[in-house]
Amino acid sequence: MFSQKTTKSILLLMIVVLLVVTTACGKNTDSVNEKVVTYAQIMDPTTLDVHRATGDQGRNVYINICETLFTYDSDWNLEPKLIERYEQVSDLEWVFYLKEGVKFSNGEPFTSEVVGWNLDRGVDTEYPRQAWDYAPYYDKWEAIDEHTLKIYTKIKAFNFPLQISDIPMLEPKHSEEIGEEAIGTDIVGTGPYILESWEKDQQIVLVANENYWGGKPNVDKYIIKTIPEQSTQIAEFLSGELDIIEGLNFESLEMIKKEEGVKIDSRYETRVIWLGFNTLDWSPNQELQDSRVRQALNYAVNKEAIVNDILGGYGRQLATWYREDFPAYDPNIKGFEYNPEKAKQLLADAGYPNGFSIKLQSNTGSTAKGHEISQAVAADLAAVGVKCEVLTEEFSAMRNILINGQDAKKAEGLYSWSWASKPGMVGNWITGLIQRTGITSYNAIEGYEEIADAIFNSETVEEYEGHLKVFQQMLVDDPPFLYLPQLQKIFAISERLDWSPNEHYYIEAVHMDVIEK
Amino acid sequence: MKKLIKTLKKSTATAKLGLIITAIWIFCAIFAPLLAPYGPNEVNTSKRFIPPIFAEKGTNEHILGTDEMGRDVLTRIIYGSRISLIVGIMAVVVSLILGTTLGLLAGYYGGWVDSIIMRIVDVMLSFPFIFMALVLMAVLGSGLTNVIVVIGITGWVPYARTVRAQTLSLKEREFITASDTIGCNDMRIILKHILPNIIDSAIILGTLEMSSAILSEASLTFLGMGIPPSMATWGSMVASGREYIYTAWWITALPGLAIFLVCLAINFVGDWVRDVRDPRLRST
Repeated sequence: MFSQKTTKSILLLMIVVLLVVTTACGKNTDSVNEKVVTYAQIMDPTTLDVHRATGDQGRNVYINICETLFTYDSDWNLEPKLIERYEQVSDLEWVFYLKEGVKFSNGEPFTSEVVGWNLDRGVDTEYPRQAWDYAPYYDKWEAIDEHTLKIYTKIKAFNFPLQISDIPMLEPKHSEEIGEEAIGTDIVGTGPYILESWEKDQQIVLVANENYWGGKPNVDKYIIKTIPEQSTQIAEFLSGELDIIEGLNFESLEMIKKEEGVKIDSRYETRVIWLGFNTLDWSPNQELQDSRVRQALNYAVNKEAIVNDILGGYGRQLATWYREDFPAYDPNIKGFEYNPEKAKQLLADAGYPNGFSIKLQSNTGSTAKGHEISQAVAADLAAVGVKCEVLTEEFSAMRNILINGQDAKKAEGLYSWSWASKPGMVGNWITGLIQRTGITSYNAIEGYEEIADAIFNSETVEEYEGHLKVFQQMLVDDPPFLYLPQLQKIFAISERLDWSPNEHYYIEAVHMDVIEK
Repeated sequence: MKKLIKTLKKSTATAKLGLIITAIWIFCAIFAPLLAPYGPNEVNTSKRFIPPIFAEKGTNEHILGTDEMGRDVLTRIIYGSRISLIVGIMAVVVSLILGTTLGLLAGYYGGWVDSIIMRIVDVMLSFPFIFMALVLMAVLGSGLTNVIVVIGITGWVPYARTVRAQTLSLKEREFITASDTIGCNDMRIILKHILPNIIDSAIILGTLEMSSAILSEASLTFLGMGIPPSMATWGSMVASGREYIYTAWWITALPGLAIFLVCLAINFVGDWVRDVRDPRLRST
């Protein structure tokens, strides 16, 4: 149909077009001068709604977008961030002076009404179990002027700034326009980054906020990938596709350290793992109503072996989960040493000389080694006659079972979980895990509601600390949990990054810089 | 017995290999408590990640090494052979019974019965097995019985099609029409005259499908939807070892090798059975 010359010309044109198209659609669509950092976490956030999200995965994202009223110095002392200063004007009144000139990334101003809106939303009664620390104290707010806010508390709260330090500030106008459902995937904040895109179960892309009040951040684009398998994370890290991975198994370190351009770091997490005892009236294991049984299960487990063998020393066993940084920490409280004979005796005293059967819901992803620890616990319990069947749940399934799941009654007698909070903030451990309305509370042990009320209604620091000491002893005498170690998180970081994990709880891109591309 | 020995002597090298491996597998499954050096769930966290004897730092205390909980890998492979044997046989039995029954009905009655059954076959074939199996496991829950049921009821289609085709052919034969003529009822014709003539094909197909059943169980358990981890299974071993694939490759590789060898052996044995029982089915 065409001459040979024409045919050759057409073919050549097609080849050129193909090359141009494939190049244009190629992987690297970024500017050559753009600084991009990529970090992997094991699962997608369930939501980015800052007042509803639970767990690290959501927070690791939104903390870059929505800021808090306070931050912390390297010693975990409270420092103002979106406020200039504050003062307590009476037992039940606090005044906060907001930083002026701060705007949200959509141009809306950061004002007293914005803070009030966020505080109200954080204690919205539609979600009564959400464990925000300030909920037991908070009454109402009043805007004195555009940048001066008065907050009224229901009860005297001598550490109230600490209680509200953690709540991120969401932009109200945009949030109300898009509606409650959409907030989970479309948040606007005052922070150094803006949410550009979220491909579910793939990656979340944040871009630098050019108009950030603190100055444009060094890193232009921050990508948070979702990679569930650690072996895949390691492979991508070693091939240069990722700059930061965390939660590594210590067994991988020998291999990773051999590679050039890699640095390893570790930090004690504020997270402590434990097994919860379901002591609600519908619990499949009514044996757990007896404190001797719960003590026995604590004595039965060799926690030092867990720290040394399974965690490779990257962890430490506390007496309970009451951390050293919590107020009124009592170093004289003795925990449970490994004593299987004592465990058997306690079980016999409680009327279970031959033990009993129990199911342990173990989740496979929230912490490195969580499932292995559950299996080690099951083996130790079996040695004292408690036949433990380990049920494996994906982390997301476990979260759905436990969080706000009390009415669904899907939790077994034992369930593995963990909790974390900033230093000094023991309040949400009590509201979230101990009180009957707690977001992940399966605790109906007598006496705990009363001690929680006493703690939150304390009139003086001395009274507050006194109740906390009583509470710490109760955690041993009448344990609501089988206590397990506080973990160290292990990071592998590319040396192209000028960044190390600090003591602050979450990974924030604003602290990073790229040394070389 | 003499005939069997004579047949065995005449078998091919692959058939002999398959039979040997299958015999070892069945022997391990039956005598696991006597053969295994340790208990399958004997945890010892101070002995994690001991390499196999043929690797550096291996020890003869744990010939195939230990896993992330310090459990002996050889012991768990031996005990895992029980699960694969049980699932392999029982799931095939379920599929065979279900598929043969539906195939007989479709082939014999034809008409709307055949149409309905064949449309169900089309629907089953359009769903990927793993998708269907995961949905069913999510509904039924994990466990050995549920795994057998799910693999069984998702695997009947090949039997139904084979049996239907043979039934369609057989029902036109003179001895069938003669039976009908003299007043035999349908059930008698199906059970007494058609079934005995097609059951060999179904059984041969069953031996070939057994390896698929074993692979399916391993896949479901690997994905966390099959047998609970409290039981030692090859699939759960492969799954638990994948986090340590770079540092303790034997935890995943060795049970994976067991799965491969057993499935290969079953396929060899299945081919041999087919060749011996019905050479017409041999593919060209």
